[in-house]
Amino acid sequence: MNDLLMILTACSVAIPASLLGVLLVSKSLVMVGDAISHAVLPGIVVAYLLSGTKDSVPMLFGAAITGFLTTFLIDFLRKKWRIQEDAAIGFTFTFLFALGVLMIAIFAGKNSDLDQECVLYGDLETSILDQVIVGSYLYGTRAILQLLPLTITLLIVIIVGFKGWKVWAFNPQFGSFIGIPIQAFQLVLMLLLSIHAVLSFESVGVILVVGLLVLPAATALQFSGTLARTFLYSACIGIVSCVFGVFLGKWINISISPLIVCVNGLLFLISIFVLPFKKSIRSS
Amino acid sequence: MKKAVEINDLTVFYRDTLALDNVSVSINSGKITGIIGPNGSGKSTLLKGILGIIPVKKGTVSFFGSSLEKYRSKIAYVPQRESIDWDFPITVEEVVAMGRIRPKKWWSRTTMADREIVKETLKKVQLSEFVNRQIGQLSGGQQQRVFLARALAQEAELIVMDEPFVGIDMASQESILSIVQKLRDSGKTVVIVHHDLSVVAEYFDEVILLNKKLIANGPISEILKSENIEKAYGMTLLLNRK
Repeated sequence: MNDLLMILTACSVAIPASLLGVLLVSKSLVMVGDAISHAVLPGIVVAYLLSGTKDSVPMLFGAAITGFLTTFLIDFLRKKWRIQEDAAIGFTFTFLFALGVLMIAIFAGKNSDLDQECVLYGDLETSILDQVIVGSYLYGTRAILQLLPLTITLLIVIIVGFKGWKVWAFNPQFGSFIGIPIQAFQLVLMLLLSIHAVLSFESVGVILVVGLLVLPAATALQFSGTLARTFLYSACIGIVSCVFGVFLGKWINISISPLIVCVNGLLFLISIFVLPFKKSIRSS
Repeated sequence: MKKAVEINDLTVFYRDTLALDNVSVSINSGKITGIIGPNGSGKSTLLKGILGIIPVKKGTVSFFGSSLEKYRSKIAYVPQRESIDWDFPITVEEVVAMGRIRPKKWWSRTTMADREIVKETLKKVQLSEFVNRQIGQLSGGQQQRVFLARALAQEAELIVMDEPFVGIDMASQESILSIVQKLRDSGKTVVIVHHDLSVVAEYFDEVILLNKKLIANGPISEILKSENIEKAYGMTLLLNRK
């Protein structure tokens, strides 16, 4: 039962991450994804300090605001001060992240359940103890119940807006020329990323979540051929890595979330080595 | 002759450098017009300035007498090949189908009629057998034809192509030129940015010679005779000709 709960909790983080990741990787926005997932930290802390709870509603607001702030700051540095993009991203997220870590150290250090360890690395094993039981019936862990609505929203956003996402990622100039609101897509993506970062940091932490964002999508892209298939494969890879990670973790008795990311890393390496083989088959 | 595009005093800056200096010129409808100039002469800038892709410092542009906003849906833009990410997971058919997206209802499903048009245009550019190929697995010329097909699928009146002949084989070049000529013969206006007056330029009806300023414009036969070429390029270009 615990294994199943653990797998479901891990998947509830990994599935939306692998879907968001497809958009990030195919548009070469990996650094921005990295930035958002770190930069939401001060938002989380401020929300926590103001509300006094780890309740998700104020945290979501905090994260959404810092998410937008990050996007805005990167854009501002790049366009107004003409700082090259990677430097602008590097500055913005490390600065905001450091600010968040300091805030935790100063304000939230004692007698609270928001500590640096938890925020940085997360803890899948303890997050499954946070169960939602109504009557005598177990509905799932808090992480699952929080991330499920996000996953459903994300699926709707991707499926309904699929043509738009394709144009946005592949040829935005064409999109804005014919009059599709291309700018809005980036904002929606950043908002969803911020929300995901907040809801998943307790389980996997803000560092490892980047692995879950990037790796399944990067692996899927090696052999997918179309965007629709990339989404599908990426989600499957995310799920498979969670199952493997949980069982491996149980077996060798080691922390699970880094294992899941390692499994993903290995799958990616394998896909790279298998790819030249596949390509030669396809072109012949 | 009807004017497809009228450009008045178009001036563009990239940051602090002048890229295009007071260009006033018009493009006739129903013709193939080449915008020609050496590297850095502002030919792509002119194109992007006209189409509102980059901001202009001053100047006005009109399309058949109306504004870009009103005419937008009748313009198809074929981007430079190097501006495209060819590793992107997208098939030939999907790229061409983008030409059928209705901007006001971009989320709506592709209709049967749209699919039929996509199929037809792929046949026209001789890519029918590659519909499901990922675009990175095509040759340079085939890749260029995919984007031409997208422009055809848009059923535009004005087709604008940015350096379509760079890095492609002869067969593709011929095929693109013949499609372009068919477009012209059916009354469409085609504008092609190209870097020299070599053989392909002879297929153009009219040319605009550009080197940050307008050097000359008119029918290709007159331009080839005149000394304007030297003004734009020096002697090298003449030597390059057969």
